Amino acid sequence: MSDKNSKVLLEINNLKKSYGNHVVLDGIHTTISQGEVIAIIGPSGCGKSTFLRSLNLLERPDSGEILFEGENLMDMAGEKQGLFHKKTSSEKSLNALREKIGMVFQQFNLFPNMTVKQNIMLAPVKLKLMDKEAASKRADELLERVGLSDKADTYPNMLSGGQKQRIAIARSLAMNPSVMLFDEPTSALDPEMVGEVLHLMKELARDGMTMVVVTHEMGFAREVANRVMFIDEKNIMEEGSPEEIFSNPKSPRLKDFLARVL
Amino acid sequence: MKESNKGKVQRRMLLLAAVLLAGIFVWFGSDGTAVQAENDDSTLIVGFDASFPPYGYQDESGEYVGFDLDLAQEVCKRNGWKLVKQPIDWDSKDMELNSGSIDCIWNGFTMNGREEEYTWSVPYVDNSQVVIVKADSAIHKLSDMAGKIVAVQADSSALAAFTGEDATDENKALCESFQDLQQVGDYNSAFMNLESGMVDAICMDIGVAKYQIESRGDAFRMLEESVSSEQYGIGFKKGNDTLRDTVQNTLFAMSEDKTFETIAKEWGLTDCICLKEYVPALLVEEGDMEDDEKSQTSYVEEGEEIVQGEKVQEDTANNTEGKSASKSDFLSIAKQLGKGMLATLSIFFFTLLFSLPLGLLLTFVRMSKYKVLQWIARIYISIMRGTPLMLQLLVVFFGPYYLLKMNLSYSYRFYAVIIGFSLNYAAYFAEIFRSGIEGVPLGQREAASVLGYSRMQTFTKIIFPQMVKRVMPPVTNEVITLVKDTSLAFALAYTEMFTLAKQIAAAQTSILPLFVAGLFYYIFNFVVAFVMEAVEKKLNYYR
Repeated sequence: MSDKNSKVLLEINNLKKSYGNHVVLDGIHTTISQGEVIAIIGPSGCGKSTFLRSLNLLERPDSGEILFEGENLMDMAGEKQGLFHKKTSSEKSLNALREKIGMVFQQFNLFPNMTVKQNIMLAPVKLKLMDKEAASKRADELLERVGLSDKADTYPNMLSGGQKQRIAIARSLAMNPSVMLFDEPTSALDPEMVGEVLHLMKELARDGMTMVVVTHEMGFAREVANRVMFIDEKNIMEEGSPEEIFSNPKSPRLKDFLARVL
Repeated sequence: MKESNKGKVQRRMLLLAAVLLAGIFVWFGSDGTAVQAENDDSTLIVGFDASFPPYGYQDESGEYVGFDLDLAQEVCKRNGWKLVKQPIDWDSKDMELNSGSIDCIWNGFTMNGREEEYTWSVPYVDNSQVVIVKADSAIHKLSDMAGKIVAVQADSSALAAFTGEDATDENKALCESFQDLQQVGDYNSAFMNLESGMVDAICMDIGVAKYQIESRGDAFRMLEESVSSEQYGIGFKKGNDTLRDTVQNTLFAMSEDKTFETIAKEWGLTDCICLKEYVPALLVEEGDMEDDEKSQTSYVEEGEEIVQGEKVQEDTANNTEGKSASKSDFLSIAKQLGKGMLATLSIFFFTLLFSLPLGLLLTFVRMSKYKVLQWIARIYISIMRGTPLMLQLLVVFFGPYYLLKMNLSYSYRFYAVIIGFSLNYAAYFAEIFRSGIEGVPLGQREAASVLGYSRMQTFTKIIFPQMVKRVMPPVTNEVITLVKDTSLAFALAYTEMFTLAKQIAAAQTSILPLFVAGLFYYIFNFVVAFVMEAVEKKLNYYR
């Protein structure tokens, strides 16, 4: 359960997004506080990924507000820019804010041309968050934390799916984010590798990381999340503690959905 | 601190490398025939077709030699000029002359039918168009050629004699009777055609005919009847009377002191020269006008049998050994081709050096978010890929003169080749790069973006390295094509290896040089493919 007194990290007001005539999100309101672990569930195509990707503007919403620590992300980003576009100051601060919002993808998206360690180190060094030595030390710590110290100098193609996802999580952690977004982090994994990734995420949650997780793993949602969001019909249809959602669903659509996935 | 010093050193090294490259580039540009020369008063740039022995061709040592070039050399010596021998593509001779990249055309250049197009010297060689057939051919006189296939050199006076504006009705009718009149690029291929039975007869200048028969032996013979008689002169740019007069007066002086005759004798052309008839009376002091006059008119009209004729044998026997037509072996041909190889390599190297970065720049423009820029790149690529490279080379070379009335400097020839090739190849590379960039999964960009990378950082660290790996196979294809495309530089008369091979082939009346050149290309491409494969393997550390 989120602590009533904890700091609000993200506040989302009246968020709307459509592709052409197809409305995906229609006026979402919610807040995300520090330390919360939120699981987003819902039928496929319901817009849960779009919602998650809106939170760091990978998808640009059509209207609404996304306040991150009080600053509206929507005021910052311009249109999609060309390669030689001169950076505006707002774009720079958008990049600065994005450093604070980590993201883990379904397809891992590790950089295949770099070693595991370079994948983790490059961004903090490039963005001058750390010097090389500090970044290297931090990378070693993170590799140990995800249990892959021996893979530091291999290339991603030598790793299994579960290992890749653990590295992707370490890469995201290297930026010291305030909140981490997970976009179906276990959906591309073979079943026997799902456990190792969920285990790592559980540890993160226990250590107090704020997490927003789009997932099909109902077990994880029930066990680890302290709030579950059911998105359907373009909005948050129902949300609450895992017990409320899983044991006492109110809307027929949620009941229907749970009946199909559990 | 350490870091920034290292950066400085790297930048300096880069700068130094750039300066060195620029230096090499300029040096190559000035290297055309290893003579550094601008188009000024103290040089005479003579344009000639280097596959036209004995008037102008390449000997075994790689030197351009010939009757006309010896004459030009003597004229230059007497005037204190430096002679630049510029082999040209015969089809482009007018553009070369008008644009000032050559001063005159001096190369067994037929005046008849071209009287109005150039400022001419007086005629100095009396030449006729004769017909050569295989020794066992059924063709014995001109009328036997009805229904046969006849070859002539493209844009030659033999062609003009049949189809030109001033062609006689007789010749036109004769031409009508042929099954076909085929144009070939040079006499070497004409003889290959004749030998293999693809054509039945070749029509050519008598001087050339004699040379060819002399060096090819008795497998061929010349018809007694000639198609037409004509004269050779030196062609200058229309209106350039000053230069014409200077050159012509020098020739008169050479005729007076017999130098002209001596040179003609060296080349076995004693019976063809006619300059003496035109030397102004004032200059003629001794009255030895009568002796050779008659015999100059024409061999053929006198009905002499040329092939076995003693006269020809005598005239040429002494000098052909040293001056021409002795066939070379593989090694000496390879050695001769060496210079051309260097030219081919320099085209190859500089084209890659400029077209790869230019292609990448073009890719950026093509992928720009601005529609206007996108369209500019699209149209550019469409034109560069949609028109022949040879035409593009001609436009780059002659464009500055015809469009902007700029006079072309001597060294521009090489620059034009590199500019033309680079502009063309950049278009192909741009599309290859684009496909490589678009092939990098979107997730890579998203991951970079959420990690706070700027666009430039994303491109240099993530997209570009992955693109390079993806485009290796198609780039290798293009690079190999480029090796072979370098031979197109002949369109601008830049003597790279294949042009040189053709010239040597013409001089030696053998096709061996072409095969040697082919072998060189193969080895070159083998090395290129090997290197590219090694690079690909090196990039295989990730997938």
